[in-house]
Amino acid sequence: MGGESLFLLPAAIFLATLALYPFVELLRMSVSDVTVYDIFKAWPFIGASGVTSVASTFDFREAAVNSVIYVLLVVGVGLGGGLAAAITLWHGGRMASFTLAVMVFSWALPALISGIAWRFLLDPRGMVDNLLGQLHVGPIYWLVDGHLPILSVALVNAWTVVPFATLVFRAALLDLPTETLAAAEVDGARPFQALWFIILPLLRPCILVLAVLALVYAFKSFDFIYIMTFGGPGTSSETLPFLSYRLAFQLYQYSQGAAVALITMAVVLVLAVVYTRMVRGEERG
Amino acid sequence: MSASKRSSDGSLERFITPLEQRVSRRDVLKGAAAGAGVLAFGGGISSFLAACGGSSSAPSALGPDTTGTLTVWHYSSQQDVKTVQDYTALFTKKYPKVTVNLQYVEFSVTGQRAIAAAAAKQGPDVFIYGGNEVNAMYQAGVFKDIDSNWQVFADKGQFPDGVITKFNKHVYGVKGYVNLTGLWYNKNILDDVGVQPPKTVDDIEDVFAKIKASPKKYTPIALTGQPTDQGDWTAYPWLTGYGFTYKNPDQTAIQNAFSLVSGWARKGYLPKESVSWGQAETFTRWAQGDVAFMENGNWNIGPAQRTVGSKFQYGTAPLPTGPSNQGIFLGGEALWVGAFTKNPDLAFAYMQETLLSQAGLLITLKESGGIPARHDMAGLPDVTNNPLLAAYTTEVKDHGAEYPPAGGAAIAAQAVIAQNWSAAIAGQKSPSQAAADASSGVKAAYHP
Repeated sequence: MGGESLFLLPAAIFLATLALYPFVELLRMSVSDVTVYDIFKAWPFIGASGVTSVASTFDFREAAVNSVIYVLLVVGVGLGGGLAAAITLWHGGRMASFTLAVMVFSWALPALISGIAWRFLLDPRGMVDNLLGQLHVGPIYWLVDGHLPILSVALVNAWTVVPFATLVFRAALLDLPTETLAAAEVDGARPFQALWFIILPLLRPCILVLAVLALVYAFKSFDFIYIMTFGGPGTSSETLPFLSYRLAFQLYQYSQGAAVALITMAVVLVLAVVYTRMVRGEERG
Repeated sequence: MSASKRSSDGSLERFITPLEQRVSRRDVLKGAAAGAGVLAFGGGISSFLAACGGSSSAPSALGPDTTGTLTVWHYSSQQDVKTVQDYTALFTKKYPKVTVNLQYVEFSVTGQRAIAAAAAKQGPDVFIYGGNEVNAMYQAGVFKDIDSNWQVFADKGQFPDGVITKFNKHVYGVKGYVNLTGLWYNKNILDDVGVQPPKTVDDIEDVFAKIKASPKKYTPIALTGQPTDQGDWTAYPWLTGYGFTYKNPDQTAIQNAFSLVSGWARKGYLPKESVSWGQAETFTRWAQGDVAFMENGNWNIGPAQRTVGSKFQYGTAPLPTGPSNQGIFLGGEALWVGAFTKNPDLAFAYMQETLLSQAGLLITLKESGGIPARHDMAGLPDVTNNPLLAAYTTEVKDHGAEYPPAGGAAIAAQAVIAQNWSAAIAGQKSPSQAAADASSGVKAAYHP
C-alpha cells in the first residue's frame, strides 16, 4: 500500500501545486478586497459581499445569459455535427479518410489562427457574405448586429468541437455490434429507424460523456471571444470567463474578477462531478 | 504602432501621497502644450544639428568598455520594430560591449505581464510603454525611481513637464515624443467628389453625404469602435467636442457625440464592423483606397509611406471641432527602468541614448512620425516642413489633453466609455441609452 501511494505522489504534488493552490488563492481573493497596490501584501477580508455584489450587476447577468446561450450552441451543434459527420464517414474509404484528416487538422489549429480566420470570413467584405451575396442575401453583420456576435462566436467554437466529436463518435460506431445492426436491417428497419431505435441508444454512454466534456469546454471558453469580438460590441458577447478576465486584468479589480471566476468554477465543478459519476456508472454497468 | 499613448504624473497615487504633493492635471496639460506645442514653432535648429550625435552626458561609471546585457520590453509590431532597432543601435554604438535583448510583449498584456513578473521580483531592465496601465504598474512596484539619474541628466531641461511621469514627486518615466489622433484623408477621393476636410462637426454631414452619394461607392470614414482603450482614445475628441470630461460626464454631451457616430453607421458613412477594429485595422481598411477619411494617429506616417506609397495621394487635417473645447489625448511611448534591473545606470543610459536623445527622436520622427518633445527640436525642418505633421502639431497646441486621464485613475471609466461607444456604433444601444449608461458608469467608476 505504501509503495502504491508513493507512485501517486508526483501526481498529487502536481495537482496540489497547479490546481489546488491556485484554487485556494482564487477563493481567498474572492472574499478579500484586493487591489493592484496590495496584491503582494495582506488582503483585507470582506467575506461573501464581494461575490454577492458582483453577482448583482448587469454585466454579470448579461454574461451569465450569454454563457448559457454559448454552451447550448457549442454542445448542441458540436455534438450534432459530430454525430452527423461520424455517421457519414462511418464506413471509411479514401474520401472518408481524407475528410477525417482535414477535420483533425482544423481541430488541431490554435484558436488564435482559426479565430482570426473566421473573423475575416465573417467580415461584411469576407467570403461568407460574398457567397451569400451571390444568393442576394445580406450583407449580414455577423459580429455586430443584435445577438449575432455571441451566436457567431459560439458557432465558430462549435465548429472546432465537431472534429473531436466526430472522431469519438466514429470510434464508438465502429465498435457497435454488427449483428444487432444486421438484425435490424433484416427486420426491415429503415435507416432513420435504425438510427433512432438502435444506434443512438447504443451510443448513449458515449454521447453523455462527450456532452459533459463539451459542456465544460464551452463553459470555460475564452479564446474565440477574445479574438473575434473582445466581448463586444459593447459587452454584448461577454461570457463569464471573459468578464472575469476583463475585471481582473483590464480593470485590475482582482476581487471582482476572482468572484466571477469562482462562480464559473463552481458550475464547472458541478459538471465535473456529474461526469465522474457517469464514468463510474459506465464502469459498473 | 498601435495605441501609442501618453502617460503622465501619478495622480492616482492619492492612496499613498498627499494631494498637495502631486502635480496637478492643469500643470500637466500646460506642460504638454507648452513643451510639445512649442516644439513645432520654436527655433533651435543649429543646436540640434550640433548635438545630433547623442546625449551630452552619461552616468559617470559608464564608458565604451562597459559590458552587460539589457532586456528591453517593447510592443512594436514587425512593421514598426525597425524603429526600435534603429534607435537601439545608437545605444550599442556608444556601448558596443553591451548586448540589448529587444523582447516583444503584446501591448494589451504588457501591464499584466509586468505586474506578474514583479511578483517574482523579475522584469526587464527597460520598458518602452505608453499605455493607460502605468498607475497600476507603479503601484505593483514594476518601475524603478530614476529621479537621481534624471537630476544629473544634462538635457533634462529640454523636456516639458507634461512628458515626465512622476509618482510621489519622483521621476519614473519620460516620454521623448508625443502621438495623437487626427483626420487622415484620401486626396484622390476628395478631389473626385469635390469636397474639403470638414473643420467642424457641423460640416461633416454635408461632406460625408456627398462622398457617400458618389457612384464609385466610397466609404466616408473609418475609425476605431473597439470596446477597448483604443476605442476610448478614438471617442474622446468627439465627446469632449460636445463638452464631456471624465470629471463631468454630462449625459447630453455624450448623447450628442454618440448620436453623431451612430448616425454615421446607420447611414453607411462608417462601416459598422469598425466595432471590431483597433487602430491598426482602421489604418489597413483606409489604406485599401476607397475610404475618404480615417481618424488615426501620426504614428501612421511611416506605415502610410510604406503601404500606400503612390497608390493614392493623402494628407492630414485636424479633427473637426465641436461646440465645446475639444480634447485630444497626447500619447507616445515613455521609457521606464524596471524595478529589478541589476544595471540601473546602464538602463538609464539606454534611455538617454535612444528616446531622450535628438538622434533617437529624429529616427522616430522620420520612421513613425512621433513628434519630438524636446524643446531644441521644435524648429526642426523635419517637423515644421512636414505637411503630414502640421495638423498634429496644431492639435497638440490647441487640444492636447492628458493621457491617461488623471494619471491612470480613469481606467475603469475609460472602459465604460469604450463599451458604450462600441455599442452605439453597432446599434446595440440607442445613443440615448448608451449615453445614460456611459454617464452613470463614468460617475461610478471615476475616482481620481
